[in-house]
Amino acid sequence: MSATGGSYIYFRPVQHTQIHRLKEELIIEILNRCGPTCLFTLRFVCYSFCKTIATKISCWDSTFARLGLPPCPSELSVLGKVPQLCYTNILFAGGLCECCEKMTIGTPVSVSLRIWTCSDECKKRVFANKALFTKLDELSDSEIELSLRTALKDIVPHHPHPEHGVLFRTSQLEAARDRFYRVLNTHQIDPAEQEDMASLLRDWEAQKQETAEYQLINADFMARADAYLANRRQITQDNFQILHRFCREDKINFRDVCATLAVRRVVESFNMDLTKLDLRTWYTIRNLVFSIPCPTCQRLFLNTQDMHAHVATYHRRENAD
Amino acid sequence: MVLLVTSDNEQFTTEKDIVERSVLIKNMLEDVGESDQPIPLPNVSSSVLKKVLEYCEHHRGEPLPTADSEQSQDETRKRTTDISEWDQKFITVDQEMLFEIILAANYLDIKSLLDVGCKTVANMIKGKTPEEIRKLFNIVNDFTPEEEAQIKKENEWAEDR
Repeated sequence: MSATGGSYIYFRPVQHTQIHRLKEELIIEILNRCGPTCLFTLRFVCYSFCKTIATKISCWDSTFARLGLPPCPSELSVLGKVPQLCYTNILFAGGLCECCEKMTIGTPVSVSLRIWTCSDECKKRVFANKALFTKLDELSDSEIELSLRTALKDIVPHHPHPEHGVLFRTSQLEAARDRFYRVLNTHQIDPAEQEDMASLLRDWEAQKQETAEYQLINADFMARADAYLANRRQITQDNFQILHRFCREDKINFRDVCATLAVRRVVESFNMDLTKLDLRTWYTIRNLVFSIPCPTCQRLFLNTQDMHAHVATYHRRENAD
Repeated sequence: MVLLVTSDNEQFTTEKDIVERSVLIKNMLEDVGESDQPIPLPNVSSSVLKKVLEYCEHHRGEPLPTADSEQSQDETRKRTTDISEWDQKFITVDQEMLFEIILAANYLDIKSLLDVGCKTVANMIKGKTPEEIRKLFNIVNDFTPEEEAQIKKENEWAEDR
């Protein structure tokens, strides 16, 4: 097997492992028993796993069914990506829940749906949180999501903040979200699940009654949280504009920079501290983006294709010698 | 009694109700009828067949899946990742034997054993990073840098963990 790049041919090594001796149908049998996080991780392991997971939807269907979710809406696709990736993104984007070891909320979609997919233990902890119930009646769905995240900070320590990494995708997911709701409304939920949902809502109402007195106490906390979030939204916007300006001046693709995880982590830490990016930080960030060195002069490049073009242009004679 | 011959020419004599957990052998016995002729199993070695028979013997007497119930049972099996205590002990073998058992279960068409094997592999993968999985199964990272960057881009939200 070979893959062709811009200026080179890559011969893919043959995998001589026990697991690769299994036929594709058996690999799928194993994938059927993996969770969404496992499927995502396995895509990074090797080319054949990545290809199987992307093309065989049965393993995704199994994992959704195991969590009691409706099947993935077939038309759900953002920017030509695999629909199952988008569906998982909508439901679980964020990180691994520290409490129940399932993926936590990232993109604001539906609090109730998210909690529904979580374990009983997680539900109990969420419902036991007094701050969460302060503003439920007044807030819109996405605001509930924000306050839920603020309130959940201590429960899910590694939970990413809404502005980070999600903002530029949220607008693209709006249409997908609408389609998802349409499909969800027409989906036949089996009686057992319906009963579970009804009891969940009854518990929710009961908890709201019990926690009414905390609404006033927590008003100050919520106001401070809102002010912080508003400030951070502004700083995030400013930082992305600064980043965009630096990229333009250095003739670097802004989208490539935003897609680099290490860069996003740096920007995120600035956003969290409510600090603006400066030129010195940008020089550090540049080295994170340009990570492939030329074997001759050690100059850094964004991808191997650029590096090969550089070698062909500047070091052809040296290599021939 | 049924006589089985493995790929390394070893003979195993076993009871019919044990060996009939394998749909392949059950169909063979039904086709051939009462006979003393040995059943050849060219895809199964003696060490693997020994393990498979141990599994079948432990689970003898348990109801065999019928054609109607097979699909629903299959779905139920996939929905849970739990493995019973005995099965867990039984499947605690080295990696080579584990994959041999999976291949044999598939060849002999023993759905419940195949399920135990697949669940074990799925549990081995659970909670590991790609590098840890590669190390576990001796897999070579065979992506080109461009392919790797593309997958990372698609999965960028999951990277935030």
